[in-house]
Formats: sequence, structure tokens, C-alpha cells
Amino acid sequence: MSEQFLELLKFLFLALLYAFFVWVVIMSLIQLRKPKKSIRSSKKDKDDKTAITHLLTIEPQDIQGTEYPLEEEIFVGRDEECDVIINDSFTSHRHARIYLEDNTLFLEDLASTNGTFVNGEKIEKIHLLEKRDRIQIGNTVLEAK
Amino acid sequence: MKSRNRNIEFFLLLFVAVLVVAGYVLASLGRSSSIPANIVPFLIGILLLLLLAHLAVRKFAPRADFSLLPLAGLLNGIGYFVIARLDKDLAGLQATWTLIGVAAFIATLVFIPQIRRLEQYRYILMIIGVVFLIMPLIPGFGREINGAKIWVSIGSINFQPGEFAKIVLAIFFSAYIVEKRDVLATTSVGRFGVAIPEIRHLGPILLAWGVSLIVMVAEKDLGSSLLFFTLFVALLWISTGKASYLIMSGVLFSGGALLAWSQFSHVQERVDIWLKPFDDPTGDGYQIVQSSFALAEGGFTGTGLGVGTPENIPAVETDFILAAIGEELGLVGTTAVLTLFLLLVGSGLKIALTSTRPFEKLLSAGLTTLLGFQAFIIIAGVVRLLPLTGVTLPFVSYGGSSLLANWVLLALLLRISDEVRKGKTDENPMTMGAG
Repeated sequence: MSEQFLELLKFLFLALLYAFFVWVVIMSLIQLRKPKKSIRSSKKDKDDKTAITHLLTIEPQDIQGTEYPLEEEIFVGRDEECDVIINDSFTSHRHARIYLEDNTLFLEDLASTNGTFVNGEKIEKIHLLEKRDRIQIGNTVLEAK
Repeated sequence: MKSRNRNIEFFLLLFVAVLVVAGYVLASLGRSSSIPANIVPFLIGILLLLLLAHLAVRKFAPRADFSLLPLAGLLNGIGYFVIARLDKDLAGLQATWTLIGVAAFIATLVFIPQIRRLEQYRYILMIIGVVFLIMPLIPGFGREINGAKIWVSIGSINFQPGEFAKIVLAIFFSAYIVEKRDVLATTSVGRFGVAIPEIRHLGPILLAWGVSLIVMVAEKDLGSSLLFFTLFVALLWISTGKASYLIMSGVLFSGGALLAWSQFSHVQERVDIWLKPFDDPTGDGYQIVQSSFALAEGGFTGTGLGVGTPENIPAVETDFILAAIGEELGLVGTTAVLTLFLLLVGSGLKIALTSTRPFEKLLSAGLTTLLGFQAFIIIAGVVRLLPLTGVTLPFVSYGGSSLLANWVLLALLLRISDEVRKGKTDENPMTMGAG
């Protein structure tokens, strides 16, 4: 085996190694760009105010900006099993539920001790959730986005 | 979306197999000008191992990030062919450990279907973590190898419980900080305008950290001590966003380092070797001097696999494996290893950033910190940026405990990544009209 040939193989090997990195980076970039695209297209296709995709934390300050994606059914409360866990003493273990029915999102207060408020008003049992509604549970305020 | 990630992973893994086999063959060509006799079983073995891990992810974490498994697999593979080139016996053991590591990876994915469950066991995990840390100090149980008391012997098997302690404590720290986040973030302004949280809220963490620090000093394992401290500070900082924690811990650490330097002879020795290795090139400085020679010999693209003489460096299969890579693949090769860690850390932080639950966010950030920072401190030691603190280069160095622990760590990251994607809107449209 001549030295030059080994040298050539070494360069080939190193080139292959860096080709691997390039591939990983390209794939990651494609994936990073994808969600942005879908946001843009959804903005174009549908009216901005129709789609509620997640809850955005407005208060308390220290977890401001935390987002919770909405699913078929999510529970809000103090219990660890809840999807949105709110840890304050004014919140019931299973405080409220947000669920999807006939393409519409509903907010239901699960007979909580201190009630659920939307835009400052206490809701009866079920409330039809609209974009930019502010849900207050205990000291936590979540905005439907 | 779900299977797309897995398909990318599959092809990346095939690429990994090609690279590892190519490296293995090249090393053999460089050493003895012959193609290794066991090339076919080697190829089949690698493919089977990667395929097994891939199928487990496909079944148990189908939405997880695609890059983690191939990146870790490649690091493990590079480590393997370098070790195989250095020492045939160790290579056999490393192959066995890799097999056990991948089995542990699959088992973690199977037995931890929800990362949230770990949160409930935080205090049990804390106790387990502390027990793991103290184990090597128990007389008759612990063993001292190469000056560090970090080993435990059960029968003929030696292992380093500290490698597992770091994962367990990362889970505990994350869960605990999430529980106490409110009080940790509300600080009172101290005397020097630095915000300090009330000490009683920090109690258990300070205790856990103190225990780990004392044990580390007693075990003479400076690298792990630094690793635990960084993990703890990183988690506090990420969860509260308060830079005062960084300043506070910087001061704490500098003070601790100075104290350790003035009090312990083995620390002074480390610093002297770091600053003036050429004062005693055949004695205390031998290892680091040989490592520097190896890196210099390697130059830009290296001597070629199997052509150099990295055997001269003591502990080249474990702590100094990067020097062997530097000699035979040069700066380009060591940069490749750094790039692998960089991509791995990038993927880990991406999981933390996209995660919406605080516990998952903190834990993924914590595990990524462990992986990245451990790689940093040993690489910095090898290239003489920092004093040498003997820890393994994750996935690359020879060592059963380290491999096993890092494969488990990787499985936890994949599990979190899968859960994050489950909550995203890609698959079942939850974007519904309200009008």
C-alpha cells in the first residue's frame, strides 16, 4: 500500500466526515424553516383571528411568555396530571378544561372553588373561547392565541 | 412528519456505519497494510446495533429529533476504531460496553414512557444520587485507581457510580427547581445590590451540592466536581433568568478553587503540570507533554490512521483519546469531533427551547449541559486550556460506566424531544375556528 494512496484515502475519509455534518445541518435547517412557513401560509390563507392554537401566559411575571399548545382536550389546575399546571392556592386541583367540539373551542369551569374568569368576567359553566380571550385562573392569566 | 424524522435518521445512520467501517479499515491499512480479517462481521455488527436502536426509537419515540442518535452513534464509532487501533483487548471490551449501552438506551425508552413520571420521584432520586456519589468512599467497596477514588468494585466488575449520579441529580435539580421556581425567582436585594434568594429555599440544593463537592474533594475527582457545579448553576440561571446567580457562583467557584489550590497538594500538582509541563517532561509532565507532541505531530490533517504513535501517551484510550485523534487525523479530525459535540448540544438546546413544560425544559437543558460541558473540560485539559481534570470524553473514551450513562442520557433527551413534538400542531389540526 503506497503512502500516497493512504494519504488520499485519509483525505477522502475526512471529506466524508464533513459531508455528514453538512447533511445534518441542512436537514436541521429545513426543519427549522418549516414551522415558519406554515405560520406564514396560515396567515395568508385564513383570517388571523380564526385560529386558536395555544395559550400564552401573561401573568405571573416570572413565567410570562410560556406557551401551552392546545389539544383535543386539556386540563388546567394544580394537579400534576393537568396539561397546564398552575401552582397557586387559589387554583383547584382540576380547575378547568378546554376542549374541541365541532371545530370550536370551549372553556369549561370544573366547579372550581374560586371560579374561572374570561376578560374579567366570571364564566357560568361553559364559555365559547375566542381569539385573544384572557382567561384568569387564580393569579395566572392566559391569553388564547 | 412523524416518519419523515425517522427516515432521515435511518439514512444518517447508514452514513454513520459507512464512516465507522471506513475508519476501521483505514486504521488497519495504516498499521499493517491489510484489510482487517473480521471486516464482514464488523460491518454486520454495526448495522445491526444501529438498526436496533433506530427501530426502538421508531417504535417508542417516533416523533423525536432525528440528529441525536446518528451524532452519538458516530462519536461512539470514532471512539471505537481509535481504541481498536490502540489496544485490541480494550476494543473487545468497548464493543461489549457499546452493546450494553445501546440495550440500556432501548430499555430507557421502553420503561420511561413519560418523562413527567420522573418528576414525582425527585426525592428518591436525590437519595439515589447521593448514595451513588458516596459509594466509592465506603471502605471495602470503593477502589482507588490512578489516584482517583471514584470506583466501586462488585465482584470482578469495577464501575464509576458518579457517571450515573450526574443524570439522577440532573433530574432531581430540575424537578426541585420547578417546584420552588416562584420563590427562587423572588429575590431580596442584598447588601451589594446583588439579588439573593432566601437561603432556606436554596437549602436542599445547597446541601446536595455541598455533599457532591465534599465527596469530590475526598475522591480527588476535580472534573466531576466542576461538572456538578456547572450543572447546578446552569439550571438555576435558566429557570430564573437571573444573571446574579452566575455572578454569585462565579465568585463562589473562584473562592473554592483558590482554597482547594492552597490546601490540597494534588490540586497544586495539577496546576503546576498545567502551567509548566516542560519542567519535568519525563516525570509529572510526561502525559501532557506527550499529548502536546502528538497534537503537533498531527498538524493540520494528521499522520493518517494507524500511522502515528499515540500509544506513548498514558491513558490515551480514556482521558487523552482526543490527542490520539489529533495525531492521526490532525486539526481537521479534532475539529470534526468538536463539531459533533456542537451539533449534539445544538440539538439538545433546540429540544429545551421548543419544550413548553418547565420540567422538561430544564431537564433537557441540564442533560445537554452535562454532555457538552464534560466534553469541554476534558478537551480543554488535553489541549492545555485548563488544568487537566480526568473525566471521559462522552461516547468516545474507553469506559463502560461512561458509555452506559451517556446512552441513558441520550435516551432521556430523545424521550423529551418526542413529547415536545407530540404537543405541537403538525399532526392533528387543533387550529380551529371560533367564529
